[in-house]
Amino acid sequence: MFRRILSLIKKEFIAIWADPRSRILIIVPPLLQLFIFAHAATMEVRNLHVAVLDKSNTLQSRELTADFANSRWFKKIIYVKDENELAKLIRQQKVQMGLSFNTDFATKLLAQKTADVQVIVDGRQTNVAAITNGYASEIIAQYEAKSFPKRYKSVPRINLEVRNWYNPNLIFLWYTVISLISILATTIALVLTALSIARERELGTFDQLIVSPLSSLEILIGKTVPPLIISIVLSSIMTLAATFAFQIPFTGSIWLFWMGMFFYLLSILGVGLFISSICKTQQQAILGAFTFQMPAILLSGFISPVEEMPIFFQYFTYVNPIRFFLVIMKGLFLKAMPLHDVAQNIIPLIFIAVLTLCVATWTFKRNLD
Amino acid sequence: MQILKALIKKEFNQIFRDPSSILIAFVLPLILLIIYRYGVNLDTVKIHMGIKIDDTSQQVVTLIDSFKGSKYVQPIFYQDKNKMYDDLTGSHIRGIVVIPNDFSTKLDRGEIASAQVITDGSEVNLANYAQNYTKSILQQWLTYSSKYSKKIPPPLINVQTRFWYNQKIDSHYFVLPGSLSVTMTLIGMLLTALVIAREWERGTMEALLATRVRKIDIVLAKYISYFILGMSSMSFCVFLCISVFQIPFKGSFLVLFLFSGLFLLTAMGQGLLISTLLKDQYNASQAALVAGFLPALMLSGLVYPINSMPLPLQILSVFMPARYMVSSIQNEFMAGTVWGIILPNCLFLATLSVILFAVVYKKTATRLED
Repeated sequence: MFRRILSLIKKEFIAIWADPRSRILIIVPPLLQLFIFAHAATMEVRNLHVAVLDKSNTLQSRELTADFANSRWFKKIIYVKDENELAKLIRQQKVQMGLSFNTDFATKLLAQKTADVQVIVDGRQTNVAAITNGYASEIIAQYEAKSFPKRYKSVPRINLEVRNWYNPNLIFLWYTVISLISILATTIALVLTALSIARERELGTFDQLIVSPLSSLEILIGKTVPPLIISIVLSSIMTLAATFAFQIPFTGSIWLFWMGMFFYLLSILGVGLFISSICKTQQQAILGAFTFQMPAILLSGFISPVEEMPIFFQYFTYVNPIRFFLVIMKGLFLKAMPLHDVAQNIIPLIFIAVLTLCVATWTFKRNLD
Repeated sequence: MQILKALIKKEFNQIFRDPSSILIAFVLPLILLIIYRYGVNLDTVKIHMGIKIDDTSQQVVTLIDSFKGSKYVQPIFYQDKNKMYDDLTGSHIRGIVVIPNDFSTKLDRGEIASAQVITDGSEVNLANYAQNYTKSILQQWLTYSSKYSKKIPPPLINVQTRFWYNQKIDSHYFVLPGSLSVTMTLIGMLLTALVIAREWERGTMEALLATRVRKIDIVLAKYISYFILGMSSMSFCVFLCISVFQIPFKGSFLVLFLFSGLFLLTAMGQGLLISTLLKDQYNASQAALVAGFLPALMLSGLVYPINSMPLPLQILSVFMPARYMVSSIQNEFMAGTVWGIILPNCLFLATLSVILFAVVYKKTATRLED
């Protein structure tokens, strides 16, 4: 039995490895994507352009504008003559923010009366708008504290000491790279399994497997092991790249990492096999894989935290392997997550793996007979 | 003409007889729109935070109420510090606030009182939220507390913020229309990447080439049928967005369909090119994923702002058709037709689609040995 499975595994490797194009398409893209997207995927908002309508045109308004120009978030200040020009620049998305001073800005300030400043942000890009507005308020508050120190003397104040554990400088890249590794590993494992059987079916070589002495369970094992090995190797390479090229600390146990990776990929392979067992063509297999993967990623906590989702979607996340794997990955990379916390996330993965593999075996056998 | 009609009919039979094309054109977009609308929330994330208050004075009781009443924080009160730290490591809470026992004494004396916030840096976004929410809750509490508010002067500079085009700062208005560009990339690129490769793989291309069918007929038939499928899916999604999910639409449908059509043509051009060059569904689908789908998601400005990317990536994004689609569709929905944005976008998409069509036409082999 083992010899039969072994030769099937060997055949699978040859099928994947023999074609130089498919070889390249398996190895290069994940690494390339990791390096490109790691730098693209940032929520830090920078290089902002501001249009300034300064009807006050005083020392104070120019000082405040200079504070914007000197901050690290704003890159370019464009002075405008009137409201229309301001509106036009925002409408055409030449600037992300508008800042407008009234004529009495400085006089009111000097008389210690409340002076208004208008901040206009472009709500079309909602998250950028909210963050930009936060920056603007901070700069303005700092300007006020700096310019009127007397006013804020002996006022009750709270100093908030901020500690960011596990990632003291809140480097976004760390978060992105770790999440990307998880997602790319998913894509590799899913597409490899879903497509390999569908391809054999479409090309007719699957019938040859069926008439061979291999039992359906043996075929299934032979089809599962090569993608499992390939995706574990690729994920390990990506993890090495993360620690050496991106300098991300890996604080946890490497054995727990491989264990988590093993059960995670097993559960994904189960999904892949299930998809391929109900598909007749490669088109169906790849589109099926997509129909699983996109919702699964969206509902994994990658985009917004699971506890924030409506209850109905939270139930779905209990069978979503990506949800548990993301916690393990971030935990083992950055948090030196101890065994019992990792186990809390590996145990669900084992259940999901058993579930998906059983369902896949069942549909697979049923479709064979 | 007759031949073209027959070929289109053949393509449509293929589309309708394979449930997966309907799945990708109508079912998946529906699922995704529902998830985007109800499943993920990008604006007001309510964060679970552990809170430990060591100060037992009267004033601080109202601070507990401030945390409880906050829209943005789900407070969990702890007595045991270590338990709280463990929960942060286990990702059960996203941040920690510690109020030391001399907090109110220092405030009473007019000194600076310190409080501590610890965030989970492995979730950078949430860590930022945790900091900012804590800061604003403490500030609000201080400003409105009965005891301290008198000593606090009102701010001299009053910031009046206007959110143009999206007063409610509802990110759904931005994400749902934007996500159509992902759906259209899937149909336009992934699906068409498979179709010519499939003909080669199954040998039906050979059969086609042996007939009187001209090259232009083969290419046009693929373009026209999948264009119709893509635009139907697009209309379906727009209908869902506007009438079911209540996303306001300020622009013109004519303009919307104009640039969507152009975008679809470029996506199809890319898909058919991959398909023609690789002649193998397995490789074509991998290539479409890598060259088309992921860049459309990551480099189009849909999720991550292009302005903030490093310069080389900003330059790379200039060549991503999805970028122009995302910018056009968001404008059309939220601001109405802004010609200064739509025209250059359309121009780029039109040029690219013509070039791609020419390349696809040229690369479509009519001889087997090529």
